[in-house]
Amino acid sequence: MTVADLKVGQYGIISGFSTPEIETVMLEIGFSLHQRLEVSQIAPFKGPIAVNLGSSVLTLRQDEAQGILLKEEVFR
Amino acid sequence: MKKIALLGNPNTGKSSIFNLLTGLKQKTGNFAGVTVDLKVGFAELNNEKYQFIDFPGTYSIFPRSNEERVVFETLQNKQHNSFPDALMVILDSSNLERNLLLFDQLYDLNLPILLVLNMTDKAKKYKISLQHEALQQMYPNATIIEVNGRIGLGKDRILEALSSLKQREGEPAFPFDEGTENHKQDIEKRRIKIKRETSKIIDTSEQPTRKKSQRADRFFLHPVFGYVFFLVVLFSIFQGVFTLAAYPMDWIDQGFAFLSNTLSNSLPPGIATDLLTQGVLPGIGGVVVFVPQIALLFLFIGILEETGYLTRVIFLMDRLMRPLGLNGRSVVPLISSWACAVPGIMAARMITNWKERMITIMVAPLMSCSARIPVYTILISIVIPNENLFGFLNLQGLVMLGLYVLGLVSALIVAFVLNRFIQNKDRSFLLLELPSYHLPRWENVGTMVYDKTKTFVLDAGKIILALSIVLWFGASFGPKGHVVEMSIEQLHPKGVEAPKDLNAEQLEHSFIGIFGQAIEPAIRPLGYDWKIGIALITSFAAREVFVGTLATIYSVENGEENEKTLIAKMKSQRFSDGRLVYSFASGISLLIFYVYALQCMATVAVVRKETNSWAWAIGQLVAFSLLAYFLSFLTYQFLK
Repeated sequence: MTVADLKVGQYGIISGFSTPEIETVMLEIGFSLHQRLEVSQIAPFKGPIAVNLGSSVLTLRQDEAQGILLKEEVFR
Repeated sequence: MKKIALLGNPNTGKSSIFNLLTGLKQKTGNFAGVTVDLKVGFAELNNEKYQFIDFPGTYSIFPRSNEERVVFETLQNKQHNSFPDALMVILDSSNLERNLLLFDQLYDLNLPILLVLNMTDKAKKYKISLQHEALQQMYPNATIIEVNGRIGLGKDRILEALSSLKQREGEPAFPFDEGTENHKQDIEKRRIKIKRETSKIIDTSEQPTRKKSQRADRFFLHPVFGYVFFLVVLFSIFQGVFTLAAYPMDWIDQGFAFLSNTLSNSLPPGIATDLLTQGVLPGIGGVVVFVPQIALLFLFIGILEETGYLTRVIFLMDRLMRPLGLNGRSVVPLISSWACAVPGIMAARMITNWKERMITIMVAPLMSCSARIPVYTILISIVIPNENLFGFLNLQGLVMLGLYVLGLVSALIVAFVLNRFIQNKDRSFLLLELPSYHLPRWENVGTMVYDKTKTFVLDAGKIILALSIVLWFGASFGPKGHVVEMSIEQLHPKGVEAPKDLNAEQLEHSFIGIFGQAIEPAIRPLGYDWKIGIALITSFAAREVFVGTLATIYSVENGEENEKTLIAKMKSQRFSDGRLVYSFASGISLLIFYVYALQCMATVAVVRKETNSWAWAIGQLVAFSLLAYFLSFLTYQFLK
């Protein structure tokens, strides 16, 4: 599963990235393996997703969110 | 003078610190081979002068956009004219782990380096000293200081630290060669190192301001209320901009008219006086008159940006804009273009994706800018009856609103079409940080207003002014000489049957008049006569010149009642076959023409500058002119 599958308020733990390109960008921004993130907002009409990461809130589009792979367990 | 490169991730308070250091001693620098303008500021301490170059906020040295490429290209080339003597990197103490990647890369450049730890208000003292200690261990050759950019503390501390940076030797230890694989490995390596070294000092406790912000976002980002609130904000901005700006605009108008009149009465008559009072002064006036609207608009946008709401707008609008090839970030440039396309197009720089940025720039001039208002107002009052629909909806107001909506909808349609034809170069990312809400820092808002207004006055202003002078010349001189000084007899040596109005005759014999008559066959199918043709040409300087030109053509004297007399004269204009020149059909056709035509040289110039390409600028001009012509043609032929 990916970040795009989470609902507002759900947590996930990053297990990987879909492509090297996405991985580079995400690592630069601050997403990293084994990191915990929480979805805090989703814009209407399947819009961007806001995730809490450490102490900041970052936004991802749906297709970017699909590039961040998660471990198969969801925390509430 | 020492050159200091100011670097940091977005949202670290970098621009606040830049403003704190340099105040208004800032300018926009042009750097060779770089299309992006960088801000340069100056500061001094103990007779040591510093030049600060404010580089775009970036997460890593490796570029993802043109803007970020500037950092990459400058830092890898020692011969570059803005290659710095030292680096100053801003890190947000509450986001240390994320921010450290860029610092880690920059540290390896082996340049003297200052790490500025920007604290949040409530950062705990012992945490900060712990961070300081750990960072000094990780980076022994860096100088580290703490500041609080929000409350404006630390200017002297920064300058003092800069004067005593540790000298560093050696070549940059950095894989500058391009290639995703190398970059990825470099970043992975650094991330692992940073995580290991900082695990003890990262503040993972949730901050109270963030909790409050998240609660607020439940409202501001709500699928219904979020949009309703945004519309209310937009509407209030418009109300504010247009009603508040009306007063200073009136004073400016009257002031310049008064100045022109006084000068032309008191200076000795001659070409120089005419040039000053009819060319230069109205030219400057035509620029200054838009300053209130532009300043007010950017005051509001600055407040929205400073509070953190603007990123929420981007977040809300992104999904709606994407099918059109636009980006959530396109919203600000498009809104700004309602005041003036010039600052709007410049604001498109914040769009990192090339294709989305180009589409935004291409459609921005369709947003009805404030220079169209005088044109719309006068044409509407001539061809639309001042009546109420259903007893309360003013018909003229409704048409005005309709023109704005037509511009907006057209912009969206053109964007949709362009999206099909422009090839994308890079992958588009949204990736923004939603900062916590906070009160605006007024110095930052002030700097933004000053900056945008200055750019408008200088960039658009010089073109409008230059063109006003050329137009003055074209209207004052003709093949027969200085036509405005000539009498009817001089203009018509063989005599005329029915002597007409002198001013109109003079204009008819000027270069512009001759040109207007030459293009009449082309604009006749749109319902215009050659006099309107003249006004179309002159309004290339700025659209509102249309009204002034018509006033000259119909020789309306300056004065209180001039608008009424002008309207009356326009209403009575007839073609030689007796038909009204300003009929319903030709009036609407003219309105349509002004919705679409790119009647603004300043816009063409700024598009050329921002896209770094004449092809885009000229292509846009030609395309919009053809579109305007074709649609006005259809309108006139259909309504005739």
